[in-house]
Amino acid sequence: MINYLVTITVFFPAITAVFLLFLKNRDKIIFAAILSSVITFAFSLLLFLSYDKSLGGIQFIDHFKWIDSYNIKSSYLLGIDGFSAPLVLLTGLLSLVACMASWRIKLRVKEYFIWILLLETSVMGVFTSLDLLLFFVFFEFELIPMYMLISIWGSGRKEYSATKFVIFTLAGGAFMLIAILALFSSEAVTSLSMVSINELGIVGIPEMIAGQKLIIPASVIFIFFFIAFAVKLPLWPLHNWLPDAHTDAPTAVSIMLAGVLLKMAGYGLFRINLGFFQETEGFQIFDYTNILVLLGTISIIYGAIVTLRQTDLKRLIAYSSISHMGYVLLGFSAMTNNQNFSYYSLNGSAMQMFTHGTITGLSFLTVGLIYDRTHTRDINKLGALTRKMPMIAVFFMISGLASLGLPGFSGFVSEIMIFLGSYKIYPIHTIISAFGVVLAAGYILWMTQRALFGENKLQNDDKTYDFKSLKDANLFDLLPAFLITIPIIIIGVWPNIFIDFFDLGIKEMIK
Amino acid sequence: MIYDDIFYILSPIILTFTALFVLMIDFFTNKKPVIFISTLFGLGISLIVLFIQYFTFEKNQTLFFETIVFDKFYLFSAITLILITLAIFIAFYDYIVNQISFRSEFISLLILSLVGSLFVIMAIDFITIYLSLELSSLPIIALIAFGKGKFSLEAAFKYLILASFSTGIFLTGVVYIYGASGSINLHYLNITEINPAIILGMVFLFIGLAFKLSIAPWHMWTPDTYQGSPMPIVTYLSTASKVAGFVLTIRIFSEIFSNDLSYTNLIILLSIISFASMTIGNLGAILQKDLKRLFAYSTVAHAGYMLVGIIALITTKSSASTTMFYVVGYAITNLSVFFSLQHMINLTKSTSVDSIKGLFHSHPYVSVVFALGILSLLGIPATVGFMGKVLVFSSAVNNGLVLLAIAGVINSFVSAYYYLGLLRNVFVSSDKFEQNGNSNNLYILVAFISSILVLVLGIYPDIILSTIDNVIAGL
Repeated sequence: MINYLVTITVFFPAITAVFLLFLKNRDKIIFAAILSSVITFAFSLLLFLSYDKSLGGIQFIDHFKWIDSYNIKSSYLLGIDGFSAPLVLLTGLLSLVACMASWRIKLRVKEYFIWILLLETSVMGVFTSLDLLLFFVFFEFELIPMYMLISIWGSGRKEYSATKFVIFTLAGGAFMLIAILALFSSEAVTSLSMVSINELGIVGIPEMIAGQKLIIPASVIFIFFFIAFAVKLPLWPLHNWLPDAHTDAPTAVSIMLAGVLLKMAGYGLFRINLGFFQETEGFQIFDYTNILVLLGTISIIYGAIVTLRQTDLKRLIAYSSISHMGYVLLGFSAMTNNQNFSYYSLNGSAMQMFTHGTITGLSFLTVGLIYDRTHTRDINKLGALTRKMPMIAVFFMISGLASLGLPGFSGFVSEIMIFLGSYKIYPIHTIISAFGVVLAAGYILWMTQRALFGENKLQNDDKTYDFKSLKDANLFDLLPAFLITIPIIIIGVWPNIFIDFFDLGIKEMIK
Repeated sequence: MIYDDIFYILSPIILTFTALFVLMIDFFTNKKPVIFISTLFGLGISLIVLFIQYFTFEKNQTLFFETIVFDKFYLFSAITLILITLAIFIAFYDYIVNQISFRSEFISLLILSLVGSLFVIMAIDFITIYLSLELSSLPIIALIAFGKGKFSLEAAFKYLILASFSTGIFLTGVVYIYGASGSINLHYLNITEINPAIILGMVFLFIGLAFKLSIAPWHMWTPDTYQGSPMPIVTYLSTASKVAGFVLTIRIFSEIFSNDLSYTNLIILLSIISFASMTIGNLGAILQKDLKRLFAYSTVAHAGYMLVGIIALITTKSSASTTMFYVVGYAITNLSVFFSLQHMINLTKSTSVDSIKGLFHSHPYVSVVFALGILSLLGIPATVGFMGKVLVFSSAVNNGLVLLAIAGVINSFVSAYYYLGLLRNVFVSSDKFEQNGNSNNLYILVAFISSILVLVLGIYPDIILSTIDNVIAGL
């Protein structure tokens, strides 16, 4: 076994980014970036495959002293458990897809790939860091690559959207910072490790704060963490930044944003909000699940209804993301006390994060391919695209059908699990949420019907694109789409390979 | 006995002689390198002396009839101050040689101000504190007037009037403290109960210091002075002066509040001032169109963040290390920002915010260095600014000042608006950069070194954090 495998996986993209500084030739830069993401993907796959499920727990631990002062004590602690292993794999896969999807880029190529690779490092860091301050460092660091990527290589009102994205996330991060500091300032807490690791003698925050009084009420700390993740998830009514950021971001960045960045919030909900607040004094997560589940339901229905009205393809998928991430919260919060919960819904919620990552990644990828050719994302100007670009249409259809939850694709698995589990606990919310699936069928089918089939709606005098000369994607365009379709189908047919992992991780979080 | 004491203040003495030597040598030779090398030589020697004293340090001593103290805190701060001044001299070599008419007077005054600052950070007697504060700020007034712009004289006068005004207020505070505690020596303050005289004295004392530290609402001079002063002086004011002022504040506060009395009202008052400083600074900076004024307001906001650790110091002494770390980190960051700013001003011959649009395309190195400084001011992870903010806010939460910490972090994302605006101008804007002049690469070199420090201290702060904890514990 390679030593420090997690550290290597996390920082390999960043090191390549430094190496890219010295390259001059455009082709070499693109080749090096793609090669780097292939290697990182290989590392993440290696981590995923060599995680020993029979042992469970945290594996591949890297632990060093980091900050040791009167006012804050923190260590460099990286590791993988059953819950983070699939998410690391997802990050590796989607970063590879994002790099491959950017091979046509012409503007400021070197900087572009440097930012993409730094983004990958920071997301990997979020999923692997087990120290709360380190987690926060990676969680916030992602802002700068995203700001640059959206505001330089984006389209439309790109600077506005990028600033909005940063300010929303910084505001959420501010709450999280206060929550972290409040936890650390409490007498019971002596280190900032998020989990207990017996072999290293590390006691995690969940054990330290169990039954203890904190410096500010535990419910406030819970809410602060929740706000930070709700902004990122994004949850109604804090979702405002997402449609703008998605619409104006370049294709690869949309893939990263929807595919992995939103999952950092879901990951945080499980690791922190669920992991920490089960035995705290005077307040447990179960006291607030009725509110969380309501917010989830509103997100699902609101997101779906707004999606129906969209005419911009990217905006449409962005709003559908809000609806789909609502399912994550619905499944997550379906519990009322220590006994009354269901592993079905929790696993389903984790699975929804993974499947939504792959499905939306594919959606944005194919929309990007369409936009490259037609230079428009306006549904009213598209139509009959299947005739000219059948392969793109096939992949677009796959992503659409998987997204509406067709059996055989991955979306079905996670949604059915969430509904099965949460129906026992919050039946009314689940019934209302189930209509989200109906609405999803509505917007997906209506959208594909208008954009891909039927007649081309382009007016004769409109010079946006020339329908007759449209060309299908070439092999290199389709390769990332292929890659990302594999997990969608595998999970649809054989979901257990991932559910086993999530189940292991979640069982360790639940006391 | 008094001759033994001289050994401990060797480094200010060396600097004083350097200042006089530089002034005299101007009569005999007009060669620029001679003046410069002798300056750097004097700074270097005193730095070496300080390092030797630091590593052979044995115990705290009070010197010269208990008017000054020799401890690790002094040594650490003095090393920081001299390093900052050294960096300023090296980076602004080109500026001092070509744009200042009376360069040996300029250098000599700046070093004399540094000597004043060195005494400020070791003084424990209010009379000594007063004298050394004057010694550090009087040369600055003359130095501000060295600027060539039309605002220079105005800025100098503003600083002169407000500095003397603030010293008056400071002395009033001293009077009250003396009346209430029976001593003007920090070590012999005998405060057994909280009475109005103590509180009044503390408030006056603090207001006097707040002028120097440009804490709102006593910040009015900052934007005008920054705009009118030559850049080396702006850099010196926002880095070295800040370090000296906060070291003095830490020293005074940690002695006065070393008893177990509870100062709830004072804490509330200072928290409001700190919040006001952050908010006024950030909101003021949003409106600015001039780079120097923008950074002046940003200084006001950062003074507010630094004050958070000082407030926490009232209840827990070790909280002072957070402010110290923040101040040192801020000084390093500001060095990198101001050096790259001067480089940009040389290129554009303008200080407008819009003049740096599209800079990255033609001048990538200075842009990256500048951006690192800005990100550190904004408090993005992996920079020293982030660590500083985490530390001061943690000290606030530790002492139950949760609301103040919340106000602080909310302010730091308000500041994202104008810091990102600068980054947008440099990196994102597709406008063509208009170059109207040439600049010296020395700016970028020194700024690059400080931005490396920004990154290193941001990623592994323990390097100096443990030292700072150590020196604060020795107070």
